[in-house]
Amino acid sequence: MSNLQYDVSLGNLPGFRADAMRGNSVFEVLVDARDLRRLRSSLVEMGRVADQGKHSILILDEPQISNDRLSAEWEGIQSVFQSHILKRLTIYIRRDGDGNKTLGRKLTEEEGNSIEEVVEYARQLSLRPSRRPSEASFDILRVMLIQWLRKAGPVTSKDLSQETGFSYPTIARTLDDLEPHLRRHSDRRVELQSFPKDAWLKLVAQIEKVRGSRGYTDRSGRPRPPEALMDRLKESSLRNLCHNAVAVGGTFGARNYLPGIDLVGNSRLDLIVDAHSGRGHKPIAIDTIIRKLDPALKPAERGEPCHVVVHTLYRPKSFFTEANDGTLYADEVECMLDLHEARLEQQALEFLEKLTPRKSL
Amino acid sequence: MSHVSPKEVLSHVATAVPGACRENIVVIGSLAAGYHFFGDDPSKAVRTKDVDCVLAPFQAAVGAGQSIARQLLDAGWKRRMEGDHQQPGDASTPVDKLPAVRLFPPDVDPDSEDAWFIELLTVPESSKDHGRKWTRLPLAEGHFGLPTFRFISITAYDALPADGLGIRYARPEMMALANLLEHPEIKSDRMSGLFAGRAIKRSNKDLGRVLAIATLANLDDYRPWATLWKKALQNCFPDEWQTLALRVGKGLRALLESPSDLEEAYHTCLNGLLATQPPTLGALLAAGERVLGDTVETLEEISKP
Repeated sequence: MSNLQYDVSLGNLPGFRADAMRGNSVFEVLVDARDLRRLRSSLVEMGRVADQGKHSILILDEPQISNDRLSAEWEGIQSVFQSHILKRLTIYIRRDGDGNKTLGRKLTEEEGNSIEEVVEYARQLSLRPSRRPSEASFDILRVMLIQWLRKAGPVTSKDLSQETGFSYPTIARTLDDLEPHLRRHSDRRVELQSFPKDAWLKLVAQIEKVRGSRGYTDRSGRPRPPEALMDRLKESSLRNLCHNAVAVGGTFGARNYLPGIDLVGNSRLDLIVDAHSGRGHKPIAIDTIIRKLDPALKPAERGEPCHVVVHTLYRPKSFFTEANDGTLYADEVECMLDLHEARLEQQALEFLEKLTPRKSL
Repeated sequence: MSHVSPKEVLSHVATAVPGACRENIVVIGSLAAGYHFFGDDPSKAVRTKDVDCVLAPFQAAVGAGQSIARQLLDAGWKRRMEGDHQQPGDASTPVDKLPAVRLFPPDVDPDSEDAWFIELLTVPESSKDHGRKWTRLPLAEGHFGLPTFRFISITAYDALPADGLGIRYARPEMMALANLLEHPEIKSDRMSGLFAGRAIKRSNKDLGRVLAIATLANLDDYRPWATLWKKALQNCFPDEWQTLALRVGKGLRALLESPSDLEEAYHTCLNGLLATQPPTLGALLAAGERVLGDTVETLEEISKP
């Protein structure tokens, strides 16, 4: 039995990336489809895949279009596609509770068993906010700050491009904005020489949006202590679910880097998910991880106090560090942002001051 | 229902029964749970009338039952005369038509607010026994019956000693397991009497007990229960423990998904085991979700063939 591969490009279909592929079966998912034009466009794309000899499976996850309308669309393409394409094409309509429906070629058992996993992957992808150029500067700033706090020395634009995933022009623009705090070396490498306070404050002001933060809350009045959640996270069964793509930030992370920081207890557990490491792999089942931490945790409404907060990192390099006990911690900058988000401003300031490189005399 | 102090009642029972029989008694039900969780707190009481005493092992149940009933009756304990089959039978009376042994202490007015009575039960003779079964208990007054239910053996498993009293009481987590096993679905049949003024489905009352126990336990981690549950199932049902383990959570899942049934369960908790420390409905729901996620799912994982 072949394994599912995610986010697969097909060599002879430039520009197309299937959500998943297993053997000769190609899966594409439309989450919450409500637009016929989008459906037709996906059908054409999947028709091209079928024309390459693949079994082309378009999954409609909880479509907002009725089954009658979808059947009519299926009838409509019968006269558009050639028969060899139609023979390799499936529309799988997935509706929770109302039963699923297959139009076109029947699924094999292996294909049927793959549906839920592929849908879960696609759902998570659809939840990720796209990276907007206006937020690029924040990502580049964060990486520059990590390098500075870690005293990693100057970096090239190529390094920054690889670490942030942004192009040279975007990086150049951001570096120009950081100029007063920048030290440019003769070999064109750059590094921060002071803390860019204005840029940082702009980042802090947009913190939740930039990090795609999602909170989880306990409404029972009996929340599990964050320390108990942390202990669970260290267990091997949960580590296996995390695939080295989930790190701890917040107060736990701050203490990892600065054991003497003036913090009393932990008000919540901050988790940072490395979304980039998830691309092309089995998705990080964050809802399963949350449930394993505490089955009573629920997604928080706006303004509700959170007991666990999940942030997402979109850049290619996570800068996670591994402690002696195997726990992954998010980088210093993520931890500092968590302190700001948790309104621990004083502690965030202390964290920054203690980690700021001292200028040599 | 009566407000009774678990510690006082267990002490009363232990003192009244013959010393030689104490080791055969396992107190189960809300009183056992109350004793475990707040036995040392005189400000907390349990709303119950019946003190269920399981006689174990089965082979010793009739002998112990006869000695206990004899001593209590001779000491002036009074029979509770309610329900079907009030009169003792004889050797020709079918066993399922015999009255159970239900006795009020001599100093208790059966009509008073704080009246309570003990009821004698036993564990099943065989793990293959299903449903309610009766065992004949001949006394000088006539024949009585010791009732048992399929999953009572779980409540008697690895029972805990009541401090210095010589009798034992059921582990709360084992009572939770027995209730879960008894109700793999929400059955429509209701309790014979009203529960604090309302007609309540038996399943909701018993599954509500699971939520009450989990609420009182208030653990950061309910997974250790799964290991104990597995051991108890293997011990009590060696031939079918896996099948039972894999269906343990069905009734609880159904309860948590049904707001009306959950509300009924909540009503039984507020007017029963949790009367003196009422939780919110949200707290009760969370306790159920934690038992499902931590204990039931762990049990399912470690019980897969």
